[in-house]
Parts: sequence; C-alpha cells; structure tokens
Amino acid sequence: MTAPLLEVENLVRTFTLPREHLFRPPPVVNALRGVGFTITPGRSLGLVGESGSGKSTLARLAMALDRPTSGTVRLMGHDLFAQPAAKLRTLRRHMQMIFQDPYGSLDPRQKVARIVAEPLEALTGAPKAEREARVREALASVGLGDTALDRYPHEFSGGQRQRIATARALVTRPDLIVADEPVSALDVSVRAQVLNLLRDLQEKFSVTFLMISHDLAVVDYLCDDIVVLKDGLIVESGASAEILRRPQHPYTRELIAAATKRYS
Amino acid sequence: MSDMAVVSSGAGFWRRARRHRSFVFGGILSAVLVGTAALSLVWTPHSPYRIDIPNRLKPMSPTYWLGTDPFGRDVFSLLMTGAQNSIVVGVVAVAIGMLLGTALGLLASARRGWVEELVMRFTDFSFAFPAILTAIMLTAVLGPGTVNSIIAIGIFNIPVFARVARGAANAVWSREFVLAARACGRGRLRITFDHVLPNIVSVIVVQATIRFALAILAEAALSYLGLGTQPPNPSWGRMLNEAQTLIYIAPQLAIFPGIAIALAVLGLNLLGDGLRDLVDPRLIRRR
Amino acid sequence: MAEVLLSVRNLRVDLPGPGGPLPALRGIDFEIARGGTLGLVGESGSGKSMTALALMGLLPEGAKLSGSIRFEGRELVGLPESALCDLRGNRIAMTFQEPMTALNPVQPIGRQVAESMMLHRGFSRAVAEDEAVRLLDRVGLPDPRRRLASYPYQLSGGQRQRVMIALALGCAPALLIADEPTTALDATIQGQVLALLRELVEERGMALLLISHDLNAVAAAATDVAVMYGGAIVERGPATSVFRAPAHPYAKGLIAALPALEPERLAGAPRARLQAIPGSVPDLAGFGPGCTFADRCAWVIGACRAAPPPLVPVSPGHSAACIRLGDLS
Repeated sequence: MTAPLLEVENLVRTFTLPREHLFRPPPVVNALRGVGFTITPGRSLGLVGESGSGKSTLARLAMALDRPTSGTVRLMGHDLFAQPAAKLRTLRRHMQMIFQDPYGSLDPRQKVARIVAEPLEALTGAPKAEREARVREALASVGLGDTALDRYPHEFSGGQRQRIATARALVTRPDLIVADEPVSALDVSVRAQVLNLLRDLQEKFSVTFLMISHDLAVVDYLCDDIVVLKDGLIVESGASAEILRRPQHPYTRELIAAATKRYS
Repeated sequence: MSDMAVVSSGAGFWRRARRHRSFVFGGILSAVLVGTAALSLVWTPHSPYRIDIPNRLKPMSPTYWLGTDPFGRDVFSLLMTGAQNSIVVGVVAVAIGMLLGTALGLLASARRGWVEELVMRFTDFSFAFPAILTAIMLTAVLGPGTVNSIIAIGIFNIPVFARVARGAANAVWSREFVLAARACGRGRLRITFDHVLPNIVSVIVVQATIRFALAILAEAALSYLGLGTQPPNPSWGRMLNEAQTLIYIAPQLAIFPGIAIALAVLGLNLLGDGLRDLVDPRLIRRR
Repeated sequence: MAEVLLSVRNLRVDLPGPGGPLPALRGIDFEIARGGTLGLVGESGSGKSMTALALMGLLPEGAKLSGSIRFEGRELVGLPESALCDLRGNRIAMTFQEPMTALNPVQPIGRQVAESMMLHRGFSRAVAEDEAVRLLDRVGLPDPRRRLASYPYQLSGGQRQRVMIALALGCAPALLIADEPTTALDATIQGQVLALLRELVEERGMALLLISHDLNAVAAAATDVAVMYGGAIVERGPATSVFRAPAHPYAKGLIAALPALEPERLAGAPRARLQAIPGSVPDLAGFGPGCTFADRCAWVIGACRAAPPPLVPVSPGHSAACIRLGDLS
C-alpha cells in the first residue's frame, strides 16, 4: 500500500449569497456537503457530475484556490489549509491544474515561453538556463516545438492552446494534475488528440489526474476510479470498470445511459 | 474558430485605425496641437512676450496673422505658445491622476474586502464635489499658478482612474489565466504586475486621452478665472479673460483662443473615442 | 415518399473577409420531407449554423447568398424582407442554443409565449394565454399555469430550452430549426429534451432540422443525417446507415475519435486508444478550393485538392463526397 497522494476528508463548502430581504438571513448555497475520497499515486480519479453538483468547487479546494467551510485536503500528507504561505507555495510544485477554457486560461498578453515558465518562476529558484530547458522539454512532451516559444496564444488553435496549458502544468513535473473539463471546450475532431496526450502523460511522467468532467466517457477513458457527485454529495464511488458494469445509484445509471453511444 | 484578436497586435490595429474616421480626424487634430506646441519652442512669428504698445489691437494682416492684443503681442504667437502650456498642464495632471488612480484601482481590485470598500467610498466622496468648483477652491487655498492648477486638476483625476482601473482589473481577476497563476503559487502583487496591468493598459490609455481633453478645458477655466497660469506666460484661458472687456472692439481676441480650445478638446475626444472603439473593451471581458 | 417541404439546392453563402469573400457555405444540397427529421452534424466552422441562418433569412450583414431554398413550393432566395418576416416564426420557427439570451429577460415567459401567438395567429389575449398554458404543459414545464408569471432567470437551463420550444411551437410551424438544443444542458436533461422534440415531430407532423455538434444528440432525434465540414456536406443519408457505416474519411474519423461508452466497454473490455484526427479545423480562409477535409485526411491525393468532390451514392439514400471511396473500403 503506497502513501496516498491526495486525501479529501469531509469537505464542506457553503457560499453565502447577497441578501434578498432586509430582515431575513442571506440565502446560503451548500456547494459541498461533506465529501471525501483518496487518490493513490498512479490511479487517476474521475469526478463526474452535472452543473451545480459541486465538482468545480471541489477542484478549486483541491488546488487550495479557495478555503473550505470545514474539512481537510491533504497532499502527500500535508494539510493544505494548515500550511504557512511559503510552505504552501513549495507544495504547489507537486500539483498543477489544467482548465476547461483554452482561450481564457492563457494570458493573451504573454508569449508562450513566459506562460509555460510561470509555475517555475513562482516555485523554484532554478537558474535561467535550466528553466528554459525545462520549458522546452515540457513543450516537446506535448508535441510543440521551440517555434512556439516566441508566439502569443492567439496564434494557436484551441487544441494547441490546450497543449500549451498542459505544458504549463507539466513543467514542474508534478505528481498530481487537476484537470477541469479539459476537452469540453474543444472541437469534436480535436478532442481525441488531447485525450490521447493526457493518457500518454500518465504513462511517460507517471502523473496522476484528478479529472473533473460531466462526461462519463471522457472520465472512463483516463481514470481508474470514478466518484459520482450530485448536489454536493457523493452518490457512488469505486473502480471505473466496476461502476460502469454494475452501477448502484439510479443517477449513475442515468449518466451511463446518457454517455452511451446511440449510434453504431 | 473565433480568434481573440489581441488589442495591440500591430498590423491589425493600424489597419482598422486607418479606416476609423473619428480616430483619424482626432489624431490629426491632436498631432497639430502637439506639433504647434513643439514648433513654438523654436519658432514663433513674433515673441509672445514682447510688449509693443504702438502696435496694439491690430487687425489680421500679413505681419500679424491673427492680429495683436491690447499690449501689442501677436495673437498667433500667443496661441502657439499657449498650446505648450495646455499640453504641459494636461500631461502632468493626467499623469498624476493616472499613476495614483491606477495604483489605487489595482490595489482595490487585488485586495478586495475593506481595502476595495475604502477606495471606492473615497472615489464616491470625491465625485460628490463638482470637480471644477473644488479645483477653484484648491487653487484659491494653495494660491494661483500653473503648478497648483496642475495639482488641483491631477487630484481630481485620481478617483476617475481608480474607478476605471478597478473595474477593468476586476474583470481580469475573474479570468481563468489569473486562476492559473494563483494555482502556480503566484502572489497578488506579482499577478497584478504580470497579468492584470498589461491587460488593462489599453483601457487606461483610452481614459487618459479623454481626461487629457478635460484637463485642457479645466486649465483654461482656471486660467480664465485668473487662478491658473500667471502672466506673462501665455495661456488660452487667460487670453479669453483678457479679451472679455474688448469683446465688442476686437472680437477676434476671444474667438481665436476659443477656437483653439474647442479644436484641441474636440481632437483629443475624437482620438479617445476612436481608441475606445478600436480597443474593444469586450476583449477584456471575454469569457 | 412524403411530399418535399424544404429543398435546398446549391446554397452558397459568402462572408466578407479582409482579402475578398470567404465561402461559409460552398453550395450545399439537401431536402426535408413534410414531417421528416434531418440532423445537421458538424463542428465549429462547418457551416451548420450558417445554414440555419440562411433558411431563416437572418444572415449577418454583408453576407452574399446564392442558390435556391424552396419551402412549401416557394422560392425564399431573393424574397423581400417583409415576406420573409411573415414566414419566420410562422411557418418556420427556430430555437437557439442559449435560451437565456434568446428569451427576453425582463418579460414573464407566459407573456412571451402568448404574445407570439397573438401576433402570428391573431388570438385574443385570453385564448393565447390558455394556449400558452397548454403548450408549456406539452413541453413538460411543471405547473405551467403558475409558471406563466416566471421570468427566464427563475427557470433551469432545461426548462428554458422547453419554454423556447413552446415559443417556437406557438405558431404551429411546418419546420422547426433547433440549433444546438442540448449543448447548454446537462447530460441527463439532454435526453429528455431530445425525446420531447421527437415526440413533437410525430404528433404534429412538423419537420425538424436539428443542428448539433453532438453525434449522440443527432442519433437520438433524427432519422436522416448530413455531416458538414468546412461549409460543405461531406456525407448524408439515413442516420442508421451513416453512423453504422460511415463512408467519408471525416465521418469515419469523427465517429472513431469520440470517446463513448460502448456495450463492450460496459461489459468490462479494456479501453482502446482513440484514433485522433490530426490537425485542427482551420478558419474560413484556410480551406482550399477542393475537398475541405483534404489537409487533415490520411487518404488525400492530388486530385482531392483540385475540385470539390461530388456526392456519390454508397448505398440507397446514402452518399458521400469523396473521390477515393473505392479505395477506402
């Protein structure tokens, strides 16, 4: 039994909305109502749910971009919300994120070289030459050459931009990559390229994914375990193959039916 | 595939700019303003300072293109040199407002919470005063003069830029690439300088152009009231003031500085509006 | 064979571009029978939405339209705006991808549905309101009488899509164009909306043009399908035939490239690697004069780039626009 990579325990996150009435308490949304799971190295986990299920809130909490109302997230044994800022910054090298929107997640004013180097600059004091080598290496591993370095994001197609975002996530050689709907904004004919790329990275760099998606088929393609989230609660979790073959919860069955090919 | 055009990406910007009528017209007027001011540093038809009583109140002629004032100074030369004054006041006052205001706006946007609240209430507070009246009050307290009128106008530009910068910066903060930078462990200060500021520069520049026009107008108003630039330095506003008593005898003395002010303000406003169209603010908000 | 409701022949749309006109539609042909369903599949830049806008006469400023659109025996190309206006929302209705922007945010939904009927069918307010309740009930909006006073923001995405369908049905159109009706919806709601569309087509004898990038959605609601790429129809035929035995390299690639839960996988088979289509969809200026898919195709030969390939039959009612069909199978 290897030490767990990410442990999420009893995570609760409520959001307080603006008051609607002067004399009534402001309305509260329970985005997560006590969610827990564990990711072990090498076993990617897929978080499936629909809009409003709390999956994106969970992704932000797992990346320590937001603080939970209660509960803990531990990365390699370190409680993310009990770390001093400097320690949290060094922990971040072990976890990176890929976002849904390849248009919005890259700063339009920065060149690719700078975008991909950003995690390195923020995290390590590596010398310039080594940083440049790491950037080239990361770009090469997503199938982009050195010619990309001096160009701006708008010069690339959606699929290529998602590759750049992936290179940025890889550059610190992280153990965990949180991928929030990494292909849903891409053209259909380009999705397979990115999915195959992510799959290659799992093998080549032994990266483990926390993959967030509404599409069970995408999650199944890359993940060994699946957690089904509905209204801020886990309704079903387990090994992918097992869940697909014998779904227990009616909601899981609905999701499977929706993702099953209706053609061929 | 909808490509997000990057605002400043050279070729595209100039191609669109050339076809934008008000941008071109405003640009030409602004260029004439700046060119005249620059030229007056090295050459004017006559000295704008030389008092020549025998030649007072001359009409337009080949020697005195726009005539002379009650002290026999050449009006055309005064207007040329007055442009310097307007530009200096405009540039410095807008620079004060832009630097301090943008800094405040960025700070409000980066810190949120009570800092933002404080900055915004400060801007509300200052908007509650009519700008020009307060500038008059300030120069009255500080004493009349070019420097003090610059300070007074500059102070009133601070909240304007603070508002604009905060609004644009908030839009940038909500974008995913900022989230990505935070996920990399970047601090708020670094994100502000690396990501937020470069993405709001265009909005700030547009605002600066428009405020420049208003600053010229404000300076003219203060000088007209005798609170701005002091004699003997020529100023369009003071020329208007001095022409006032002679309006029936020598109307050209009021008309030409009036036209100069109007054209300068018009040119800068058109330039600002054109820039605003060309630097589509929707790009800032996109996705 | 049912009567032809809509017949599109050699439809071209050119959009103004910086270096001359850009072809958004390159002369497409298709037909829909009265009560028939056609699914138009394609990704961004394929021209599927442009087709819908051309049919509705709602092309963007500066677009040039040529070819023929015959609807109920009438030629729509060249018809004056006033005549088109009569057809729109009357004989032809359209629903949009994002109902939040397509519905008026400051008007209760009941009024929006009712007013459309007062306008197009001359109903009095009372009659129109009763009819609105009936329609909203029909599209599956719970408690429709009370919901008449609801505003769009108070509804869920699925409910808004239903309201928009009710709005489109209000004038009893002969053709409903549904542009990406499921794209903004959650997976489990998508199925319900598609089922609703299918039912409505059956019970009203209305024809449906379903536009989507989602093969699953089209397979669920359309009997015929046309696959578009780069402004051209590359393959068309009965849905079962096209999906089961795609002939064009693009259609083949698209179907192989999508991750989907297949019965074998559900039974526990290992995950097969996806077959990706190389390259990406170019923008409008990036397509050559020949086959639009040539630059990404593994079977491309010189002749592919020379001229647009014609649609050739592969089986009854099923044809594909590829000159190398013989070498592919």
